[in-house]
Amino acid sequence: MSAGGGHHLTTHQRLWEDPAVFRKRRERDAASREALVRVLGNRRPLAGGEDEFLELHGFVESLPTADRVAADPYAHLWTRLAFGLGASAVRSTAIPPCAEVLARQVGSEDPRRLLAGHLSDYKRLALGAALTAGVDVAFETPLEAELPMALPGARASLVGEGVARIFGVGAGRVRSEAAEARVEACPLACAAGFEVPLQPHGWRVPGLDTLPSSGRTSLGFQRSQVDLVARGLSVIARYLPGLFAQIRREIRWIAVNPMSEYDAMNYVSSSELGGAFAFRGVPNPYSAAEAMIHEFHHNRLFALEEDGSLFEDGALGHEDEALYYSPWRDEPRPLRGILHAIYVTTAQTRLWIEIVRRGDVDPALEAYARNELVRHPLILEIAIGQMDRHARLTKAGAIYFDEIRREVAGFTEIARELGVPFDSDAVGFDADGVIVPRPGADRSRNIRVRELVLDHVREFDRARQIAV
Amino acid sequence: MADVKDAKVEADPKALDEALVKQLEQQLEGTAEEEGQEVRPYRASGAKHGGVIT
Repeated sequence: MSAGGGHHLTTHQRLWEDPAVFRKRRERDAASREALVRVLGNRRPLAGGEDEFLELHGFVESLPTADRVAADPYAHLWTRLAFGLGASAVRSTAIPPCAEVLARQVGSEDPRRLLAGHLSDYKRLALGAALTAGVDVAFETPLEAELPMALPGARASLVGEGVARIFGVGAGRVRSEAAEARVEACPLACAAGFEVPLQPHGWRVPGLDTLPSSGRTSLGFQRSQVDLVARGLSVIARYLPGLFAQIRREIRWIAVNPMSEYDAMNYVSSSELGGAFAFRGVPNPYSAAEAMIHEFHHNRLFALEEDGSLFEDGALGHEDEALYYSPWRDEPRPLRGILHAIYVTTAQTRLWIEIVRRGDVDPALEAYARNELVRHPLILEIAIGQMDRHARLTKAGAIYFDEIRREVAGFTEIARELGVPFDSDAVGFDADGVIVPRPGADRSRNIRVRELVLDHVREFDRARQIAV
Repeated sequence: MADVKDAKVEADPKALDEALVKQLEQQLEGTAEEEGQEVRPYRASGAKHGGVIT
């Protein structure tokens, strides 16, 4: 049996490999924009305030680059907000949950006011579409945007400082009153035929409250990270070519967070920016590969979540539902976060299995891979226990979760076959990307992997949810 | 801007599902028989990966 209606696919394929889950999201977004255009045209909840958007939408859809811009991560965020605010404005209802961040930023919960401002932000997509198509566009009213800003689909940013009034595109240039504003192409990381832009400014969009430290870096800084990203992608291409093909198909931009900064968004993906992620630039290609596998799978699970609810009662991850011990974090987490962590860690584990299986890396990396094959089954078992005790899954959610459980149950046996010991000294990447032993709490000796995991439970499972 | 225009980007061909558009129009208008529950936005983020010493 397979979850979610993929008749000819196994559950494993649907959960991990099927490209349809991403394609369906883009198709739904396209249908949402078309429905919005029709309803705004008929009902006119802004009494003419929607006219410029309707005209611009028709212009963008007439361009050969419309699909390319529609596949940009920002198009998903824009569409979700526009659809939710459009429904609220037409029906005179409260704003939807997806618009709460925008409402805080604007300082209003009036859906018509929010919709009017948000329809103006469609000009961001129009700029990208016009630039990439090589055509001019003139806005009736200027777009006001804080620079630097990403140009969706264009693999470029409009760089400058402060808030700029932007009037459109003319002769291949963005027309703005900010004299110093200029279009600058993103650096591209290239691996195995895949060119991915490093785009730090894609996070700086209205309606999103996710701003990792990369969002404050320049394209010049991202250029310095091109080699790291390319080498990390090459590791994925070498050991997990099927996954690399997925990443190549779905990821539109990546941003690298500088090592000089450290915060809770060192590694981040947003459900609202499908096809993008940021990770901390630990200078080691295997660390980069692991981080990109991790973040890509958050993206994949976000798409699966939008395809059909996985938790009963829509219990999808309010931070105030953060009641549960997680072996990945020092603070309690919502069950949605724990499910995400299980999913992405399962995917990461495959990398270390392949590396140990091939035995073609240096001894330090081999030791790290074996370390992870001791640690991952252990923390996954703890987290799966948390889900078993507390989560109420839908039928599809349960089918998917059983498939993850089945795979995780096999990890211990695979590790044994590969000669991975029951326990080992714990190692990790330091800030220079060098693999080094992890010191124990008193720094007098190195810590063992199982001790590391159990120490975390003892210290942070404050509600005593785990029996150790 | 040649690099912007010439870059190869994977994109889906245009294919609007008219039945889905109609269903979404009804959702916008509030006349849909059944409305799905909105999936809440979620940020998956953390300070570190397990393998990174901080």
